[in-house]
Amino acid sequence: MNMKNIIIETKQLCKTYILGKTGLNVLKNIDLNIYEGDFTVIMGSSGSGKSTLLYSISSMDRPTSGIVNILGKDIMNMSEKELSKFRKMEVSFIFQSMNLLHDLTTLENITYIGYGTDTKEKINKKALSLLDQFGLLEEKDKYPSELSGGQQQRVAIGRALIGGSKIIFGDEPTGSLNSSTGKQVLDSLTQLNEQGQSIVMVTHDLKAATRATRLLYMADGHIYAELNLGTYTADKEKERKSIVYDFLKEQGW
Amino acid sequence: MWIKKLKKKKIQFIVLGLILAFAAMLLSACLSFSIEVEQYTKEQFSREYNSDLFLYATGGTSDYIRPLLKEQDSTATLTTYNGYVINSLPMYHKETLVSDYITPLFALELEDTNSMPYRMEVVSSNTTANSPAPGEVWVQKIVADNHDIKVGDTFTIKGTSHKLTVSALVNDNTKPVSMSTGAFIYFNKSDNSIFESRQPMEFISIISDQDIDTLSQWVEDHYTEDHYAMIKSTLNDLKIKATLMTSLVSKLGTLTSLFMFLITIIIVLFFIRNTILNEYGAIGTYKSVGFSTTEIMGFYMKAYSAVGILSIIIGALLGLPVSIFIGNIVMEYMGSYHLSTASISRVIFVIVFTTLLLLASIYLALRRIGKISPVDAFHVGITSTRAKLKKSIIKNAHSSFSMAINDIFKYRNRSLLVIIVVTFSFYIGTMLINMCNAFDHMEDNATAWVAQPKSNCFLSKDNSAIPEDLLNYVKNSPYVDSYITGTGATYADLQVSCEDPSINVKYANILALNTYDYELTGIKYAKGRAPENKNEVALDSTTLKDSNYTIGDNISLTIDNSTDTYLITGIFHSMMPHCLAFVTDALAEFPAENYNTSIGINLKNPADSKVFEDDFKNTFPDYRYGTMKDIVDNIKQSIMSIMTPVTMIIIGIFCSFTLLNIINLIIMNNNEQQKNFGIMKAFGFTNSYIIRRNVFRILILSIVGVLFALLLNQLFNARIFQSILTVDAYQTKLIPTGMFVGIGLIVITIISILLSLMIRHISPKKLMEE
Repeated sequence: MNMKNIIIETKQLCKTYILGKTGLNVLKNIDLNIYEGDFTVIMGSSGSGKSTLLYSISSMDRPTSGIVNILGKDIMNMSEKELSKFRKMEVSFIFQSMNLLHDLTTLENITYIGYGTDTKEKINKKALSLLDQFGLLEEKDKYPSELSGGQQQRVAIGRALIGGSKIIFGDEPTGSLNSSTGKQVLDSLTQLNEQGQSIVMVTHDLKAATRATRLLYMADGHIYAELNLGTYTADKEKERKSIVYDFLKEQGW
Repeated sequence: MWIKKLKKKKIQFIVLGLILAFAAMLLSACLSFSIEVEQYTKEQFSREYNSDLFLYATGGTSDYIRPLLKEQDSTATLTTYNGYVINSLPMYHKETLVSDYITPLFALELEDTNSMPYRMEVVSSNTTANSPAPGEVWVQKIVADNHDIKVGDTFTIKGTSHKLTVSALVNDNTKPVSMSTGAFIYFNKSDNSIFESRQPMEFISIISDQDIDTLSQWVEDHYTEDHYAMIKSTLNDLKIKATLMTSLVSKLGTLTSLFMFLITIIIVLFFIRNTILNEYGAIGTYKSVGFSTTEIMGFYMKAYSAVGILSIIIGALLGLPVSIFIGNIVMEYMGSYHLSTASISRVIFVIVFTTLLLLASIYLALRRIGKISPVDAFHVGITSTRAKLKKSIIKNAHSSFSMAINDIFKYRNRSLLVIIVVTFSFYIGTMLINMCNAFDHMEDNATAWVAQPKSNCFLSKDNSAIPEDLLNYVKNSPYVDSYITGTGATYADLQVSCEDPSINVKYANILALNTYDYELTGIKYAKGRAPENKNEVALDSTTLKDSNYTIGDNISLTIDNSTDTYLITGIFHSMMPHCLAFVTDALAEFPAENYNTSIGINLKNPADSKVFEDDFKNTFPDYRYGTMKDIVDNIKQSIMSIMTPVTMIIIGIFCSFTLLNIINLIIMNNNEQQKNFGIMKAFGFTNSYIIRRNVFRILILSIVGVLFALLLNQLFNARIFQSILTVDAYQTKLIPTGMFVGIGLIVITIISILLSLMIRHISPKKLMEE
């Protein structure tokens, strides 16, 4: 029995896409709890529904039916305006393709998202501190096109952190990075998780999966299996990798 | 491939096509109109159908001048048509006196339209005859429109039992515009008795192979006290007056349409440049798999050329009905406007010229593709990142308004484009609206139009000097604030001449007032000052322009055979050249009924004008009460019937052009910014915030454009107006200008909001699907 607080709860969650005259059931009656402080990783083969699940539990998309409670709020019944406010104050997202605002500088990409969650002075200070933390202080006036992929993704993480979001969602945040910059990003996320930040991440990458405290495996619109890994420590990475590998192999990955 | 490119951006291509079509339509319409008017007037005013010189002369002049003319030019032909000066005839249509304030009204015998020395066309009639039957009259359409006269209406002659039925309305070459020559009412010879109480006149036409200006001067030189022409006009004079408005419309239209086309080309170039920036990745991919630069350019060239050429052809062809529409309005009193093969050649010219210009521009814009390498393209990836971005003007911006300002400076090229389009359209619109307003409210600004007093009304007694009882009434009236005496709103019945041939004042209008004090008259002088004593004179700018005289010179003038020297003290503008202004004291030796005939009244409270009018008419039922409005109404009627619809058409075309450009830029922006909007939504920005940011940006740029337009209006329009019409009468009126600007900005805002609503359908989910 997990004693942590539930931050995301789904019941009978379904998502159906209409393709022409037929419906495609991508998520099928998913019951899921995600706990505070966990680094939850969702894996699965292509078309298993993991990304759709991430959209649905992050308030980016509305499920077809079922219940989705995020931080105690029923997002199914929220208006567009309430959803916007919810996204601004409670959750944030890191995308595979970074998705920085191309016409704003590094610093502006972070502060622009943060303004409105706290005073401008505090946000500016926090943004500079985040850039410093990610080694990007010298790049603060550069535009995204002038940064490397790894730098862009670290800016994206800074952006996700600026508003003090309770949950960070990641959609393959290391997917478009090389192994070295990917590791930097994962280290940053792990560090955040160690500080108590709840993270939910979809990935195909085994190395990324080893950072999880909890691993969910999806297939055919269902959560097929899950694995509790406990807190990540660098010295046990090889051992965790082996456990994850065996788990995934068992699921037919 | 090029069809795919079209389909991918079909809305933008449609909007771009419409912009091109509008520009081609206006250009083709104006070029067609100008050539057709030129050809039509050339034929309409050709010697084949018209005599060379026309005299509206006193009775018996033809018998006097015929033998003299034979000596001067043995081949000349002189033909006479009898008539009467009927200005003072109490001929009424319903309750309105049929009159023509600016030019004299004549009744002329008409036996056969084909025998007239000028072209005449029956516009509407209830008869197939070539002349009015007994008891009928034919009326010039321009006069009929001034008095709302229709075929079948009747005229009554007060004090008699005579009635005349209007059986036809005609257009003829003597009266293509209200300000030319005199107005005719044509009657049957057997109705002579109705008019014979009035002064007889002879309409004399002369055909001569001599230089017509020389002949015209020769005729003038032979005038006597009894035998002279009240009005004289050469065929060329008639043609110039007839084409004054048409050439103004065609020149203005052609210039603006050329400018509109140039802006369109800039927009096309901008559109292509942005498309290439957006498709760096795709272009790089094509190159990496072996497509040559020429092949890739071909995809785009075909797509843009197909849309461009099709739009230009459709637009240029649509120009023909627009040309007919404008032609029928502008040439309402000149004849029936129709297209000839000349228009086809103009349309082909527009299609070929604009297509070549477009293709050259597209080619130049697409050359950028040659510089893209596959590696370059893959590195760029993100939309528009090749474009150099400016730093944010407002630091720490967050509100939609401050972000809109930052966007304006970041995307300065498209901001500049919006400003140029809005400035151009609102400038032309403001100019046309205020021009229309200036014509439509001539009476409020008579001092500028005809250099006559701004008085609320003018009191007089027909054929009389100012009666003493009238003067006493004015002096004692509780409504009157001040008054001036003299010629009032008309001119003196005196003839002036100057021996110096460089100054043309023979038969000039003479203005005489007891004072020209600005407080009383409101008459402004372009240079110098008004005359203040009896040896001073002021002249209109047109008269002085080609002469050797200027302010400070002395000029010898002969007024009704009395010669004297006058000091030129000032120059004023007037649309009624040639014109001289004296103080009444200067004319004291002449009979007062020739110049001191009217009292101009300045009321204490202009709102009392009706009460004052009633009081005056009760006191003096036989005296005349007139306002400047009565005088200018028939001038402006014919001008406004042209100006209003033409203005509306041009403003309509420009508004559509502006809106299409703004639509195009918003769609372009929305497409490019789709990803940014998705990111913003993913981080909690609401639809209304993003829409506001978009709309504020367009609105701020439009307001800047409008301010530039108003600045240009203040700087140039009055000067343009004065250089075309020789009067300083252009005024920027707050209400019509404000309404035009206000409605324009509201429409732009609504369009911006409607187009921005598509932002609501952008989902942050799409960002993850990439």
